[in-house]
Amino acid sequence: MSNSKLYKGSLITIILKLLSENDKMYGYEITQKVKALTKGELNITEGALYPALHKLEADGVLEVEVTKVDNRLRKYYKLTEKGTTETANKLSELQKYIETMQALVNSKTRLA
Amino acid sequence: MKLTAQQIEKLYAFTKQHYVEYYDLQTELVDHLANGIELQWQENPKLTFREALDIEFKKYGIFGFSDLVEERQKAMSKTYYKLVFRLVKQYFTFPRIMQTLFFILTLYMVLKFIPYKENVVLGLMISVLIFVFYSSFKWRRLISRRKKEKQKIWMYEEIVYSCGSSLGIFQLMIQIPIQILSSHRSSSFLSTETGVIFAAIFVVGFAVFAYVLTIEIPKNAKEYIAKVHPEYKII
Repeated sequence: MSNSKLYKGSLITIILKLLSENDKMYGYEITQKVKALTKGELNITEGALYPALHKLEADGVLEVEVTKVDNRLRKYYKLTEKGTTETANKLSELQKYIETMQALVNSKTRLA
Repeated sequence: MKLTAQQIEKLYAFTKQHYVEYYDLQTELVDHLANGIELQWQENPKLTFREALDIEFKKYGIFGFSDLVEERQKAMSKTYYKLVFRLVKQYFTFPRIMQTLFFILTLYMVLKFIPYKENVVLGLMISVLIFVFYSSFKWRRLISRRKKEKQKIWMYEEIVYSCGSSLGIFQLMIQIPIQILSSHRSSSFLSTETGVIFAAIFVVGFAVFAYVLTIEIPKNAKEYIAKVHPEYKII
């Protein structure tokens, strides 16, 4: 699954979902959380994660906060008000998509 | 095991060596690399700092950080143009609309009663353009000097001070009156009422756009930069 293109379109929804369950998260934390939740099935690459986060930030869906942790700076992302609405929309879109795919995959069409 | 302050400095130098010259992006990548290295040390404490770093860097693929820089620049430019649009829009809504209308009306009156209208319109637009180029050049020089002196550079700061990549838009905008005025119908265009009104609105709009980019945004630059880069105020 790690090389699959299937999850590419869902990356933004995954990020938004995680942020809706956690007040704020940083990039590395997101990659680790996804890995843990999917038991290593899904691996978000750095090259895909940060452009997605930066785009969401530019769209006003996420806002950032910087805190000093240990001896370095850490950038946290959190949902804005617009982001919360966006998350609900994206999740219902994904849910519908999954249902449609399930209907297709599970259908017992017979070729005459 | 946690990374020392010295190792963090090494990571900053490493990102710089790999063509990330912006402090904001460097900071994010340094934290990411540091987390990765620390996790590797948990699993294999015998790894040296350099070995762990090499393993982490490989995860970014053969292009390293370059795609990230490019993508972030696109996102930051988007933020910048949103700001420009918001500020320009203010000049065409209450209460500033009165001031803008006053300028449009004044220019309309002037254009209505003077000869050589084409030259005046072009002259005004070229003056604005020269001013924009001069301001942008001045700020770009300052940024490149700071790069040479190895000072911190922020991506949004560079975009704000160099007026984004708006210079191309300006060149495009000035083509419109040039095309209209250089066509053989030019004299008749500006002798009509509609032509004069159009020219007055266009020139004032052009000047407002230039004013926002070169004066209004740079004047409050620190505030805008801190909003995009919260670490700007921490450092």
